[in-house]
Amino acid sequence: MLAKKDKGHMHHPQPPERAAKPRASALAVIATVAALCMALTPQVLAADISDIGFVDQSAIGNLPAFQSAKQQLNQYQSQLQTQFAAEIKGKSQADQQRISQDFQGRLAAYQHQLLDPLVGRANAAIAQVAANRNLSVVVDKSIVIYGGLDITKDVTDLLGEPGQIVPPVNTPPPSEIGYVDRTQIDALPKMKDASQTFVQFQSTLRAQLNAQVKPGMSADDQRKLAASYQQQLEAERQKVLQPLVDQTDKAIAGVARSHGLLLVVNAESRVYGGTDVTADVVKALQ
Amino acid sequence: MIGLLSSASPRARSLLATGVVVLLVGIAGCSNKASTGFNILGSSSAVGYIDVDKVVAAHPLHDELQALEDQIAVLDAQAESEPDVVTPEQQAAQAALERDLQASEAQFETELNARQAYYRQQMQAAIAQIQSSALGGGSAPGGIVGGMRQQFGTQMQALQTAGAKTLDAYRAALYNEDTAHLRSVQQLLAADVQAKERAKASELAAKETAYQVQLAQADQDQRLNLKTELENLSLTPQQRSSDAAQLQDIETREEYLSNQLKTKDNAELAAYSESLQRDAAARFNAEKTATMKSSQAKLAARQNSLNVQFRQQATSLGSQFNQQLAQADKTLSANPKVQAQLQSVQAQTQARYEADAAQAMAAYRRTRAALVDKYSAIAHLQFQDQELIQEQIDEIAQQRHDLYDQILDQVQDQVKTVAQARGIAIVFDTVAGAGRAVDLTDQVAKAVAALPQASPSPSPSGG
Repeated sequence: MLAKKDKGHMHHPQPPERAAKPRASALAVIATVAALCMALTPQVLAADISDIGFVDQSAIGNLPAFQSAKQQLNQYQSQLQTQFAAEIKGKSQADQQRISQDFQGRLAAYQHQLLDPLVGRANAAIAQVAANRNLSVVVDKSIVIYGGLDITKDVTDLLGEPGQIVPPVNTPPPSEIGYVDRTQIDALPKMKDASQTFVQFQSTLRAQLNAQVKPGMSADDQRKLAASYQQQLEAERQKVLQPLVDQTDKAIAGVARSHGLLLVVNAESRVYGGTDVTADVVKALQ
Repeated sequence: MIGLLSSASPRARSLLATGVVVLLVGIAGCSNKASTGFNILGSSSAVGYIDVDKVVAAHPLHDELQALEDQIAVLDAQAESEPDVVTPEQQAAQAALERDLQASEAQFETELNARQAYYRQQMQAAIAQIQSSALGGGSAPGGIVGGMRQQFGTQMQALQTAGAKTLDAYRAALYNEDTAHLRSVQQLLAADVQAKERAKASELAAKETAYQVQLAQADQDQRLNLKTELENLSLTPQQRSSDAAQLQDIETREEYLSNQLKTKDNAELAAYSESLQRDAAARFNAEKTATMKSSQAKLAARQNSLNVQFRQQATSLGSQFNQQLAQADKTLSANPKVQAQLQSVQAQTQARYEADAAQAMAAYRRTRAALVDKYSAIAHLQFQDQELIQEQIDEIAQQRHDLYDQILDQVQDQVKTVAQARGIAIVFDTVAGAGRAVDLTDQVAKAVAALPQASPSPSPSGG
């Protein structure tokens, strides 16, 4: 879009009739340049990425309909907990596990029953607002630290209206913002192994710290112990996890470049649209 | 552009070329002003990102943040290091400690609730007083607004009661009407049944009499002969006995046949009567059902009409109430003195409550610490007050959270400054991977590191 704007301004001196008054045209060009210089602020630049929006999902989660559903879910969970406590009394470990799974299933089913329609409606509202505003991607507000188009109010206003919300028929346009599902990357064997090694180390280190901290110990000694704990933990993190983190970052960056993307965000921060690069990243890491 | 230049005159070409050069220089000037190395023609420059963790780590207050995290780690470790309770005395001491700690917690909660209720009441009374003064009088509990609300409630209650009373009276009247009507129907039906029964009984009795006469006539000659013979004195005893027996047989047969008919007629009369009763009962039930249905319909219609009436009256009352309330709100909100007084009362009450609650909390903690010391001495062990440790962890975590937010606000300010300087329109926080977007981490980290430690940004400034 920037290139288009610049090209438009460069066409100013081109018409032949203006060539008859060259001095005036030149002055006009200079004036245009000056105006352009003044106008070429970040606001102009912002228009170039006006297809990136963000929404405050926590604000949507705080809408009365969601709050009411959460309240109902909590009540149901309390009921289940009471029933569960009564049912597992005197049962074997295996039976307790089976009952626990059964109760978890019931809770999950109720959760789906309550929240799915609301989440579906919210997603439809986000998609409709995004389509109306020609957005190619909508991310969660938490990952935008500056700028961007906030569509939260539009979405909450739409959700506040009665009746069904019809999502747009068209799929979102191609986006220069990619997203990657970290859970699929974390599920890779080498990632899982490294994670387990680190958690094991952390657990051992924690037990050592617990044994060292005694009531009545001076604050200075406590600080030293804590600092030592953090240092050792960080050293282990650098040793075990950092190489894989770097490798992943490199893979994502490579995929982003090959797809011509601006950047890649984590899938849980993407709300609508975007380009899914998970499969390519997983492939690059294997 | 080239085509156009070639079609223009040499002077024009020269001027045009100058114009283009000026334009490009101008643009380059603009971009250089905005930031060094910023490629204005590439759209990638419009998006930036930072690694927030790295930027936060560069903040002058990061050490303080780290110290709070260390404190949390130490407290976590303390909470996890439970003493080994071995002897029965130690177990008893531990149980007693838990019991006493729970009792102290319950007492503290009760006291805190009482304090909250006290201050809430104080504040409501003060607010009511201010509102009453501002709106001119009103001694109802809750002030003039409370009085209006109370009046509205009373009027609504009166409307409901009147409606219910009207409906009850109508229901009772309908019931009485129905009862009288059904009683009359019942009497008419009973009279009809009785008349029909009587007619049938008369008909059957006449038939029986005719039958008896018929029988008597059929046996008349034989009976007369036998009677004549029996009047003859010369009749032998055997002959007399035989005649008497024959005469008796005639009487017996006639009586039998007459009784047989009577029995049949009685059965017929009973069946007829039963059929009449059944028919009458069916007719009565049909009438009862129809009457009840009609009454229910009337009652429902009346209820609907009363509901409509109630809604109209309630709407009117509600509208009046809302107008009064809106007027009162308008008057109150348009009065800066009242608003200031209200805010002052709220702030003062809140401050008094917080001071009071803080004192109570301190006393509560001293009590718990004393209990832990007491039972630790008894058990010759060092017990831990898990709740106290958790409270400390929560407090420090809150401090850490507040400090982090403060740091993040300053980071956002710096991001905004850097982004504006470099013409970046949107900046993402901690992305999964970078493509053509600009990494602003180092520049923002430098700016953040240069911030004065003791002068945090007074207010957050978002993007």
